[in-house]
Amino acid sequence: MFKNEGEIKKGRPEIILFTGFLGSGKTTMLIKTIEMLAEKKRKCAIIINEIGDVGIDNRQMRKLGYDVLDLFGGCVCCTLKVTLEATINHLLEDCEDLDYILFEPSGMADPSAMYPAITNCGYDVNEIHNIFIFDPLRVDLYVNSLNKLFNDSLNLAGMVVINKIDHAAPGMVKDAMKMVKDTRPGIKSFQMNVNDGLTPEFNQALIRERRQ
Amino acid sequence: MYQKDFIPIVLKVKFKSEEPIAIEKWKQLIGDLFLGYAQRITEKGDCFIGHIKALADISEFSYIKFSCINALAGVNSEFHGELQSNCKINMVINSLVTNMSNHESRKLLNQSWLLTINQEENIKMQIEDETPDTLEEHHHHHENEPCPICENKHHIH
Repeated sequence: MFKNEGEIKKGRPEIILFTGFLGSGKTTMLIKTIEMLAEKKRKCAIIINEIGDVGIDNRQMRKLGYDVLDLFGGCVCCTLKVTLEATINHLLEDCEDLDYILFEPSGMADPSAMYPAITNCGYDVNEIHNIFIFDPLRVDLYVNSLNKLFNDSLNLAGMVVINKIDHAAPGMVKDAMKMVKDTRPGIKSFQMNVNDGLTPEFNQALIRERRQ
Repeated sequence: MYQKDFIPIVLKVKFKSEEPIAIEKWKQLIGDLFLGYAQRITEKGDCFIGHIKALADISEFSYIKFSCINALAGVNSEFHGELQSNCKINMVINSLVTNMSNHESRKLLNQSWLLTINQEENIKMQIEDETPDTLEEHHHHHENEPCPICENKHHIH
């Protein structure tokens, strides 16, 4: 039986959503975030949605020693919406003392389509901590082909991480930053190579956002 | 182009060597194969790489992960675990590319292997079972539309 909404809200875990197009660095960001939260003795549940019959990210996470809840068989923004809701409800019901639910949807997912599954579990939209990971190597793709996805993603995000700054030409990083500022002036943004670790400023902002 | 245009393809690959090979060499070899595969996809002209990633199993807790979004940007590879030498490696490739069938992916991967490997090294690559080769797009549907895959009879795992 589900707990009533009041019971769940009282001690329920924060939800952190890692959004971004294919190959932007979401899984690496997820792993670095887990490492950071684990150092602070936070208890996390990990949900991963991958397209394809066999997952790569879930295998990687298991080899790193993490237990993962997989959402397989389709994209979480359409065919797996119900499964996502059931998975979150299961965590709220059965996992005590959970501090965070970390969710990495497929890079093909439309982030706005995932929100109803989360809000149906009792969360308000503004309680979902959505981190948009932006690959500056994809600036042209976002401008020319995925503009709607970019706008939708950015409008839902609480923070933006411009990743791979050492791999992209300085002009690309600058263009990426301009796209972010033009679309969402004032949004918290960070530039880093997630592979090398999260910046202290980002970690502080993530923890601060949780407290607010 | 939109997200739905990327066709998910999974390739299970086995590598076998007569002599144990150090992880660093496997990493280099498979990385070269991966780059050649990405280059061949790009050369086709009508294909666009969303993301190609692979996980090579070294042992229960060791792996090499490969990731590529663009042949020009190269292949990112990352090893985790204990350095050792292996004769066999199993790898799963998850490829999200537009206009690319399973059959064609296998063909391009095999071509890349022939150009990557020095025949004298006695290292074999075998691509395992082929999933049904449909060029169906990944379906997205909106809130009030019936799901085209399961007609709204969603499975809960």
